[in-house]
Amino acid sequence: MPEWVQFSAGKHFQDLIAHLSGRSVPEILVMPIMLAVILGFICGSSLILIWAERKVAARIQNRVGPMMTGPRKLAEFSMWTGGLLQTAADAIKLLVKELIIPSKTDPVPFIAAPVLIVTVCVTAFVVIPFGPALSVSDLNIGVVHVVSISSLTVLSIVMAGWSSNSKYSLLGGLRSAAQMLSYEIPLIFALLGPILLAGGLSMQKMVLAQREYGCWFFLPSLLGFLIYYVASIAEVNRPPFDIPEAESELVAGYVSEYSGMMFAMFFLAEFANMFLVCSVAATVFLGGWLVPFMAVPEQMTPGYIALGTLVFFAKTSFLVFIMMWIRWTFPRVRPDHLMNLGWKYLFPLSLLNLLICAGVAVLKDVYKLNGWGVSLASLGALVFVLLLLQVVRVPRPTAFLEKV
Amino acid sequence: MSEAIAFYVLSGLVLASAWSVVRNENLFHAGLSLILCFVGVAGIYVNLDAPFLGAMQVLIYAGAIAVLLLFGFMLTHDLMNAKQERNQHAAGIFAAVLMALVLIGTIAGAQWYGSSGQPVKFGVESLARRYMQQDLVSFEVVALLLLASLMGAVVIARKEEGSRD
Amino acid sequence: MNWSHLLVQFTPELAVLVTAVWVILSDLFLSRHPSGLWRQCFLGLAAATIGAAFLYQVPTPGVELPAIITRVLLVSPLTSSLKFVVLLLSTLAVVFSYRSFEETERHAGEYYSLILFSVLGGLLCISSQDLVLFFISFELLSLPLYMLCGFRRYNSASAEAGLKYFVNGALSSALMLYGISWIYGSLGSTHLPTLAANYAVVPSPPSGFLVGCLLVLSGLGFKVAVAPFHTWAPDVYSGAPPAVSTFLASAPKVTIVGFILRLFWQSLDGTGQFFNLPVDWVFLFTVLAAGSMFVGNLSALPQQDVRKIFAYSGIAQIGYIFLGLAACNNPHPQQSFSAVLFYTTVYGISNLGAWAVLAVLARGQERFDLDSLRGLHQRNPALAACLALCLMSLAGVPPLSGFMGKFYLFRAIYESGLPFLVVLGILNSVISLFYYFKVLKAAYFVEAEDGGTSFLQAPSAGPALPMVQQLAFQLCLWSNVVLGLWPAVIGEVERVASTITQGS
Repeated sequence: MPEWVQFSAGKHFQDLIAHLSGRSVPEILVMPIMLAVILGFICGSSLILIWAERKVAARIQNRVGPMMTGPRKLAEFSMWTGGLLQTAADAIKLLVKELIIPSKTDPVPFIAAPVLIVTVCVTAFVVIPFGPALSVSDLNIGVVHVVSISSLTVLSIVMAGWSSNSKYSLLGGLRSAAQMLSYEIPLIFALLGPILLAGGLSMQKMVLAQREYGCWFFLPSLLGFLIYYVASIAEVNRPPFDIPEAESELVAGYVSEYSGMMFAMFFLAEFANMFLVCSVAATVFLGGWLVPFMAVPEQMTPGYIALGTLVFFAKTSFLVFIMMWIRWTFPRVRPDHLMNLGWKYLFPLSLLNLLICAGVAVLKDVYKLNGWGVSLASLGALVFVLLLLQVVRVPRPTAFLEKV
Repeated sequence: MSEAIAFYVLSGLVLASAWSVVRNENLFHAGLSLILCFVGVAGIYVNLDAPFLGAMQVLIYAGAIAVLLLFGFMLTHDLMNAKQERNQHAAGIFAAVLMALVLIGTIAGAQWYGSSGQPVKFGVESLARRYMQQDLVSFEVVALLLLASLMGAVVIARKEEGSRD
Repeated sequence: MNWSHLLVQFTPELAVLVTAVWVILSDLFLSRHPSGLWRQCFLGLAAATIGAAFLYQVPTPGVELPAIITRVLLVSPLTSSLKFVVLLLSTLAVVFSYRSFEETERHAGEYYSLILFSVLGGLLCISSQDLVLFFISFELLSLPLYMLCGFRRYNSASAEAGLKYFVNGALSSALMLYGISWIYGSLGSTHLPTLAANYAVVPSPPSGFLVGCLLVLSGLGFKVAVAPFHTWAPDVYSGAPPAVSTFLASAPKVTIVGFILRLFWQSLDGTGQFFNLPVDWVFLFTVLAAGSMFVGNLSALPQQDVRKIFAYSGIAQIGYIFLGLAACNNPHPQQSFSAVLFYTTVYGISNLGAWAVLAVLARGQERFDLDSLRGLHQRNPALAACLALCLMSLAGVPPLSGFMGKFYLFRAIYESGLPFLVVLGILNSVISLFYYFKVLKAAYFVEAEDGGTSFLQAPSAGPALPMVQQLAFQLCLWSNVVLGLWPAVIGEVERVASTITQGS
């Protein structure tokens, strides 16, 4: 097993500074600097993602989207590259706007909420392996860290909803608390399958386990992948699960009363969270930075690091793109349907997934099946159970859609 | 050294937020302080080399239970705005001081069995091994306990007959 | 390792578990018919009871069980006999809850499976060797009870009972868990035999261990409603549906008294080390006992609600049991053990019989003040007879079982050198006679207003009692006589008690 992939980015950073200036960076400074780097990365990626979202929306709705702000050459090159700096301009506008705190708010939670949501997001990014040896810190509780820290997001939304002292905000906060708590459960249970297969919680170990199995985990745990993806859309409050901030009914839900930079922080966190869940999905289910059809070198090679990082971003972007596609394609789900879907379908199915993964682990460890073998076996088991469910006439997984 | 500093900072945070939970007039603020307290305890766990326990503390207590608590508060608007009655000050202070004296006395004179004073490295694997081997029976009984409480919760929260679905 | 022996040794637990799951599934998929579910629950519990009786009769020495099980679960004559008593009481409680209130019909599956889970928790509690398993099974015992007390959700008294019980129970669990963590910290284990071994090694008793023991004891005290921890009991017992109170007042109490015996005397005593702790245990238990006897008996005197009288009488009865526990604090506690065991059993059955009358009456009436019992002997002689015998037994009227129990208990206390406690006990028995006979007077010596037909003609009275309930009433009734007059029973209890200190 190539040990070098578990080096942390902080270590690289220390080595780099030592190499360049001959001085060592004290340990205590590394983490703050790394967090600042993540914050910068989040801001940058969110700017691009917001622009991308608008372009995708425009494509789906037969429009052109933002065209004016940005390099003229790009806009002339193709309508899909126009307006690249539009979000940057928007961000500057939001930065210089006045911060309005309505008079009847509860000021401390009102101000703490946007700070908390961004903090949580930055902290969660600590364990994401952007490439081989490129996670800020490869904690040995990696996946659990992401899940547990992200669970505080709902707290920020509840705080925002309550402290705004407005009924739309309150309703938005209530809905989001219910929704995010409910969908956290299938999300975690869907992740348990791959954790079982990998035999560990560290993110880099997860990637290496997929190399060892010879197949990415979305094959042996297909159901888990789908459940994780659906549940994570609900976790980041994106359409079709955007009930907490539904514009048409709740103005903007918990962000109704926010303006200026505080609004921007919520916006930033939404896109950063979207990137976060997609990068977790890419790491856990799609092999992370593993380059298809290419062995991981035994020694650290800058070329492989660059290639791996590129592959990781490609996979994550693909998942992000699908999320955008879904957003502009599906209508909003009704709240009771949402709860039904989460508790009556996704949760039991995620237990089924855990069971299948346990079987797969046995096949791999005891019967020494290779990646293709276990994938086929697990898909077979899945199809068998779903057929069985059809035969035994328990409520079908789509029954809730017909009972409108 | 840095661990000691972290411990004292976290303990201060936990104590201050716990105090705020008890003394805060505003229920919502009390709930938020409770979450801060939970997060502080999670920090202490991490400081004691038990990061998994810390993560679980955040996930279960701060992220789920306390948020459900706030959720409940938000649904009962009258409760949120009502000033709480405090008519048992003397009894409460008496009980608290008595308990504190007993505990401080006990802790001061406590001998801890077989402790080296160093945190034990306790990974997720050893935790899992303990659940699946030594404490298997307890683990299975927990499953029953959860099943029973799930069912009980449904019974308590059920709707009246006729308004099913 | 032999798994078939495992099945045999834990027949009662497995039977209850299988029945509980079966009732849930059957409610979901097969039939929601309440009497069918009741029958399944009853049959499962009866099978478990018979199994426990067999296991007690036919001990299986030298059976090799997997270490993973034997480490945390003890099988001994004490646990088998306690399991039998608990199962018998639970079976009777289930029998009496048949159609006793509306929700047992509308939500029968949930009702019976919650009772079964609670019983299972009690069984595991009795034989647990590890404080972690004990705590979890204790929760499995208690949690369903909170739900059951609040089962009539739209009845405010029942909802209040459920909530009150839940809050108090949560507090007691917290105390107990905190105590367990102190014990773990001071002696490095939660496994009772290991604890005893570690205790023997440490030079002086750790103060943390003492605090832990006291906290665990107060947590247990909450559950059995002993004096300073009793405040929840009257409201919970009178608010909960009487069928639930019937269960609540019998099986869990026996379970917990059994566990107190095991926790404080089986593993920790051995060679009497327990008394090294700088606490006067006799004094402590005496204070608890005297407090609950006086509080219970004196508060019961002015009550008009029969359920409240029974609740306070339960508090007082626990006081007698704690008197016996106080007498166990000496190097030769065997006789006190057997007295406590016998009295607990007698108390369980008599109390259950008295509550069962209310549970059955609850089909036709909401109120339970003394007037509502008027002329019960005309309306339903069997019920009145059962009530009379059970109450007289609780009061300690010779030659009933309660008298034998008290006599035996007081003799053991006296022989332990604590005559003052005997005086306390007798004084309280005399006080208690007053309110027990107040209930009897209402049932026997006051004519019903309308010539004694109100119960039969009440529209909601329904058909006559089913056969099983009639038999169960006969059982309660005659057991009061038989346990009092048949000396073999006491011999059996003494045999069981002599094995307590042998440990695992």
